[in-house]
Amino acid sequence: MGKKNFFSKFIKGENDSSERRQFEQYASYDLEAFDRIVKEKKGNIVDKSIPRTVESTPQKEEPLVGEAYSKKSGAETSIMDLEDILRKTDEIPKLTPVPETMKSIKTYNPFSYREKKNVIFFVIENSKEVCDNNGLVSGVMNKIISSNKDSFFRILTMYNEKKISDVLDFATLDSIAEINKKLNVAENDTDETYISDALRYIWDYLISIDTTSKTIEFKDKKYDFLKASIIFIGTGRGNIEDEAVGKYINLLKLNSKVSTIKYICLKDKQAINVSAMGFPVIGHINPNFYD
Amino acid sequence: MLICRQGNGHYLEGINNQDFCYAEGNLKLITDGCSEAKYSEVGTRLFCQFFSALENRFDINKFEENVEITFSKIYKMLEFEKAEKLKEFIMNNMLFTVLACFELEDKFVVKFIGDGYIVTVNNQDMVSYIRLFYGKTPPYYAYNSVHTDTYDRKLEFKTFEFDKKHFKKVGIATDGIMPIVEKKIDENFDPFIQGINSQYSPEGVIKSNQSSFFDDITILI
Repeated sequence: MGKKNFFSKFIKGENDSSERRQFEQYASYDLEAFDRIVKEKKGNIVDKSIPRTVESTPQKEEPLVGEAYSKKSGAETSIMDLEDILRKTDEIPKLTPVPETMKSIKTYNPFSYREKKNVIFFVIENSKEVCDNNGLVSGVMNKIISSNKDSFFRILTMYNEKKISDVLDFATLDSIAEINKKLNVAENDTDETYISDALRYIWDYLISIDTTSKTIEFKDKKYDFLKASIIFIGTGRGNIEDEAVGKYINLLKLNSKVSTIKYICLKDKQAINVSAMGFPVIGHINPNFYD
Repeated sequence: MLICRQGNGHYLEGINNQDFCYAEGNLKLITDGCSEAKYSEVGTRLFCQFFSALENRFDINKFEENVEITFSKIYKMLEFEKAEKLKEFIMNNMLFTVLACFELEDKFVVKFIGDGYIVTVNNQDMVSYIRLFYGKTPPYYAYNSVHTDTYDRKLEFKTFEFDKKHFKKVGIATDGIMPIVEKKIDENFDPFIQGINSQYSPEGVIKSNQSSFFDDITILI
């Protein structure tokens, strides 16, 4: 097959699977391995005019790079040359695989919960503006929401007005009124106290923990007590919610022995504050808000 | 840990690595060239190398002044006779993010103009990724010289501090690390954790997953 035809297929959008796989394969490369091969074949002189070679990698299901570059003219030359090199090279270098032991290192990753069921999410939001979906600007947030609809629980706390004005996705208006009544917010309560109280109410009344069967019941679903992860997500910008939520989560950890309570924070200084409190954070800061 | 690698996208398009970095003493500095600019890799390299030659480069109080001096030096070196030519040079070469991290006795201080990531490791060894995100195209320091009509005041560095009482390490990275944060590659792979444990080579893992990194990737932690 002529080089030009090989790539023109992709450029035109034709999608032969075997050629496509080849194309994807070429998207992986190893520059150092290339230099090594050239050195071996030509002595110590590295001929920079010869394009770099590629390594053989396992096929991946999501060929985003190949697709993204199939229409770019710049890709044509490089990859055609790579094709030549592949033909000429007897031995294609392979990178050392990632050691198995590396995979055992525990890292925190909210996306790893995507396909798992033992997770309950709480979003703590303090204004109407950020509570609607458009307000949740972060791609991270949207991904979490879209992949965990069944176990998602959003709380809108208008703390300046000292009441929970809405409990989305879950509560009826009556239950909101009930929550506010039970909270019995005093005028002189601090915002921090109020939010902690609100969270405590939600924990005490909306989630039931059965220590005998070791399950957590929430939204008519039962979660394994020991495996469940409870993730709090703050989307506000202030410090007050951080302190309130942080203290409350620590309290929960002590009292409920649910060890996997996490807190993801998405916006601004909260991200730093929450991280300082000992939680892992995936967040963003909009520098425009800080002078 | 110091990693500065060309992104797969740039490799395939025949574009150079537009990131550059410099680390010495208590200072880490990253420049990330604007991908829309023709030769932003020239600016990133010039800036870091001129900056690294300044005597008081480690003085956090002189940082903003030093950045201004560095940009001026580069402009003066070229001696363009016409303002238009200088503007053209700036737009083609000098649009890049500047991210700096100083380690002081009691805290880490990050200063930046443009986008990127702050990566923190707190005392519980929890890694956080905080994206510097404007919601639109980020501003670049060089706009102070060419876009005076767009911005009603001088673009200045933003500063964030991380108390050592809570944070063990603070690093900076370009937005090329997004595939790591969003876990588009092996979800068990976290170069920061592995960097801390140091028995593995994060660079090796990045190399193995090179095709997942569209943009150039630079990490200093």
